[in-house]
Amino acid sequence: MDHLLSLLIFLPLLVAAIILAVPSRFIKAIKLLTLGAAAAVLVLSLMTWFSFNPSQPAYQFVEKADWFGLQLSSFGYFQVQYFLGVDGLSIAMVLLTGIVGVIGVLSSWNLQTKNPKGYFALYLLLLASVMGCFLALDMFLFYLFFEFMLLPMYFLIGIWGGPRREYAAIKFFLYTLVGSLFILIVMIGLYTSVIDPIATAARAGLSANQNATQFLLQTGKLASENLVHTFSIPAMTEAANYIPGSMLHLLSDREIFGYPARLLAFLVLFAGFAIKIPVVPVHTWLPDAHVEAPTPISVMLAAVLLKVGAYGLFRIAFPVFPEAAVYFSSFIAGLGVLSILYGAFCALAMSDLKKLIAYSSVSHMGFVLLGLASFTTEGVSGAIYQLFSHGLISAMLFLVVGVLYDRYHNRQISGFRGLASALPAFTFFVVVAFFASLGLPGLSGFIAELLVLLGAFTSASANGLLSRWFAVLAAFGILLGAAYYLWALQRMFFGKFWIKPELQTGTTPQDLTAREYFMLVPLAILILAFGIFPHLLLDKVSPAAAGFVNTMLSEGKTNLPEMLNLLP
Amino acid sequence: MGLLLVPFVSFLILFFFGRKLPSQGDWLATLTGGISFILSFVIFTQIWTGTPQHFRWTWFSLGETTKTLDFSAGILLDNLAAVMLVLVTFISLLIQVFSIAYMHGDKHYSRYFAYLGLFTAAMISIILADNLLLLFMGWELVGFASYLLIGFWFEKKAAAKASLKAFLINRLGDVGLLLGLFGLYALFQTFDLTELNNSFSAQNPTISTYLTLIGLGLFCGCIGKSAQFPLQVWLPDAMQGPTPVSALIHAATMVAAGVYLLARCYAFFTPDALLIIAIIGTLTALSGGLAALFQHDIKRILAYSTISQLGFMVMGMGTGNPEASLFHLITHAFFKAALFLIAGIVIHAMHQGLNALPYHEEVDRQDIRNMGGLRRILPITFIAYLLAFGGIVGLPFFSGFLSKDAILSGAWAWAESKNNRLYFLIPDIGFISVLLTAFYMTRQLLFVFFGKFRLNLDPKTLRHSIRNEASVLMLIPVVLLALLSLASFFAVNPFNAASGWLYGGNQLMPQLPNMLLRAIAENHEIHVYTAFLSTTLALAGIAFAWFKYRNLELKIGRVASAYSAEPLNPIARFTFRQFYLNELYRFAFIKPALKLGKTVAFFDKKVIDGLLHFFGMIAVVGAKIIGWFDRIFIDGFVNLLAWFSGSLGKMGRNLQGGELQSYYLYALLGLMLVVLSILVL
Repeated sequence: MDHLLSLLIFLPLLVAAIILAVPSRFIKAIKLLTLGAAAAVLVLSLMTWFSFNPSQPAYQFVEKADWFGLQLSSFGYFQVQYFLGVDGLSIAMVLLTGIVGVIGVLSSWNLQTKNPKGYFALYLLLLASVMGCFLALDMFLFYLFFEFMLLPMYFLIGIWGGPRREYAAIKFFLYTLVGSLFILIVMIGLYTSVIDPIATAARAGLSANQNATQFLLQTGKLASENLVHTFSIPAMTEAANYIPGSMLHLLSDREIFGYPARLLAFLVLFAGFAIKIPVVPVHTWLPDAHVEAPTPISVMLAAVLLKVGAYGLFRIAFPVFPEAAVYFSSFIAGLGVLSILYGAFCALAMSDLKKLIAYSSVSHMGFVLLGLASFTTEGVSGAIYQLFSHGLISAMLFLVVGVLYDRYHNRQISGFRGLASALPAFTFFVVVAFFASLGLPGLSGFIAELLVLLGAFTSASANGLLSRWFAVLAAFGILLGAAYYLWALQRMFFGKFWIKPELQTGTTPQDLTAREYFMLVPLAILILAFGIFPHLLLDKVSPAAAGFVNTMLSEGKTNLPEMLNLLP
Repeated sequence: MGLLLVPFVSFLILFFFGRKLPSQGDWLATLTGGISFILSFVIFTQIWTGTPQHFRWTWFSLGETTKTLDFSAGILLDNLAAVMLVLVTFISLLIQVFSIAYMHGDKHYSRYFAYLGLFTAAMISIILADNLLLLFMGWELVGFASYLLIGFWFEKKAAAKASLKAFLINRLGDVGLLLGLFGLYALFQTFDLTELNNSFSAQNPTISTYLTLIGLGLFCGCIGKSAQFPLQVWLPDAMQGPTPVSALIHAATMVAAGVYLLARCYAFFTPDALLIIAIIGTLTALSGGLAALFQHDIKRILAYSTISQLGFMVMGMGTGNPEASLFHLITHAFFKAALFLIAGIVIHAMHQGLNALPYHEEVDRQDIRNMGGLRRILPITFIAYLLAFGGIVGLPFFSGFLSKDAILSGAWAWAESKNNRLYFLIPDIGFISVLLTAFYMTRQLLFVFFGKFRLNLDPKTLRHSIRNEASVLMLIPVVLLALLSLASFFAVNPFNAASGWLYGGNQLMPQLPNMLLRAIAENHEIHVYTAFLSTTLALAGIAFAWFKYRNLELKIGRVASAYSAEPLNPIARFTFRQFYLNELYRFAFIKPALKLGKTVAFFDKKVIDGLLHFFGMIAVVGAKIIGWFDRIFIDGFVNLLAWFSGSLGKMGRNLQGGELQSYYLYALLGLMLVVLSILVL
């Protein structure tokens, strides 16, 4: 399989195209096609997962081809590549997308859709573009997929959503569009500053190797029309590939508003991804989008789409600007802790169960930021673990809310009491999901949060970046997490069975159906498995995390003084 | 390992298939309980005189292949673990047997046994853990299992609330524990207990505030789980669970974990940390004793007494005598389990008797004012109660005497070794607690077993059947446990604990140079003195209660709800309401937290979204203005231009009228203009 990664992206796209050709009265066929595509993606992602070799630090399954290029006279050569690859950071995300993709289709099965054809085609488009984001190693390609995610999401919320769907869809769209804009600005800046050394050497007719070309570049011996500008992310992470005197060169003394250009560029890029994660205070699109989105789309949104923002930090913002990331580590960790506590307090105040869970997502994604900013192997591994684990857990959480909503068309906490007596099997999965989310040992969330907090705590002695107070404050997040979940549990599920009179359907409520079991049981098993056997994931992920930490710290700490020296 | 799995497998099977098993799987739970106990006993016989065993393997590792951070998992079997194993599995087994009769006919009978299995498994994993991370996991699982069991009758609102409270308060302590673990990890890069102990004894790290803080962090876990002051408020509410569960929580599984943690981490505490531990323990012993004085609920009295006894254990830890604490933990486990199970028998009997009454729903089955004279109706239970009573009060020849005495003489010697009289407050308050214990236990004894039965029904109906006072399945565990309150099981000489097998030979914690213990053994005077004093105080407490409650003026037939719910005396009410700690927490923490949540949500909705909408509005208004501008000015300009060129064209057309004269005129005018312009410029 030479084109495993391409298949992961194009298979769902192809099926989406086929679905458009199927007459819309064959609903069953459309559903089966979608399910088949999602299942095939899962199989492919599993194949990638199992053949991935964690001990090899380089990108694997690389596919690289010139896509298009332009000679822009003296400015140089404009190069865009079709460049895919996975490493320890992305492999976990690929697997997660594969798993959640199938769950999402299953949960769409009985959705009362106005236009199933459009819905499932858009769903597959969404799946493909998310996958593309995780696989792209060319920033242009990444940006393309990143923008492409918006389109199906906008329509999926705006057409198939709840009562306030237009508002939520527009809010989501505008928020993320602003984020994309930030990313675009920095992308252009990077593009003007970075060259591809090998392509440049070929173009200039030099027989020099990569290092020699980089040397020639840094000493100004390359003619500017021969420079091949690139969007390649690996090229952007090497300081030697930056054109001397360009905007984002390490030793460029350009300042914007009195800030070194690189620091500012990092902040802008960070802001772009932070909106997607989302980080407090740019998170308010999330609760609205979740509340209005249909269940499967909420699942996709929480489990996979939010991860793209954090993944962008891992893949692009941090490695491209290591010194800025180190410089701002306390700021980022502070935002992480703020998100953890702010999200948790908001969740405590919510009266809508789905909104409560949406805010808990904000809180849990704060752990990712904190772990990332700790620059320790524990913290970064924990952050990736949290991405994966939160993907599974939040999928389950939104599914159980969906189960309730399907029965009563209501999600108000005050509308129900004592559901445990009426729906025991359902309650079992609610308890599993809630306790997984609040970090009970033996379930995957515990390992993630433990490692993040451990990393944040040891950062003070390991690399001196973060104060211990960040970990201390964040640890109270796990107390608050227990508070809002158990309180909701007590109010909705315990006590004598009672439902608000206007919600009563007259029939005895049905406990879980076979299809619902089919979605919830695998998730519960996965959550348990990754809670008891963390090495399943960590063996693949943590070498990359350690490598990430090492390069970030060594480059960040050497680059930062050099850059700051230039300032007056 | 198998030991851990047995109850856990029982949990899984019972949880998922329990209802389908014959008699809902109670036999399976008891069988696995029995197997666990036998295994524990075998382990115990091998370890106690042999060498400690340590098995470990890598659980998961972080980092690159060349340089990894390993997180290990393993089992550490030393004397401490072996004794605790026997204790936990034995008491769990007895409670399972008891529960067969007690929980008979419950809707979720098999689930109950499943939860019990989980509870025991979690506790065993705490005991066996060779590293603190694993211990923490077991620790949280114990919390989870207790959440399930306390809230077992989840349809009762109070039970649901109590389980929430227990879990949250435990979590609060766990946050501290977790931070303490992180502190140790940051120093030594390991969670492994053996390695930590080695590095502490080898490097002798300088005693610093940092280490003290780590110690206090670890102790926070104990404050939460072992219900120490000021977090003890969850334990009395945990009574909402079934009574055998209370016995399990109070004796073997949950609250014992905190003390066990202190013993496991004993080497990591600095003197400052130990002093704080001693103070907290003493406060707990006193506050638990005070709160128990005027309670009416049979289980509540026992719950407060547990708090008080746990305070004793923690005090022993803080005053440098961990072995005495552990000894008390074990003796206490037996007599407290016995007392709770006896309470269970009494409640069960009351329940049975009351079902015959028409107004039985209103009558509180657990209020001791509704009981009385039960010694004639439940004689075996009564005798068992007397044995356990001797244990908890600390009368000579009973186990509690030995262990309390060990703690108190340790505390006394500790205070003597300091150069400040204030230190004597700690053993002094300990002695006061002995007095309090004797008082409230005697009060309970008199209310429940003496006098006449105070409800309007034939006390005979309380018996299980005419021949048996209670089910045999309930009586056997109680009798066994009560017998174990006798001192002779622990020491040959009932006045000297040091002569016993458990406490004497420095067996439990051989890694500690137990200087203090040796000091006490040499200084026989302290020992005799404390033994005498505590016995006197215990007798005084009994006598005081005897004279106060001997002639109870409670009317027969008047149910307890007719009396005022709280003592009228303000001081008594203050202790009755547990010093208003619950109210304080509600006012100082819970309400502000909820309020903060509301505020933050408001901020989210109004300020952040408000700003967003404001900007959105500006954008829309701006767009409208631009649209208007576009229409009026830009389009207008274009229109103007069009109009202008149109007019110009019209003008031009007029000019080109075709008349020669006019052309001439224009040419002349033009020439004049040219000449004029040349002249002017």
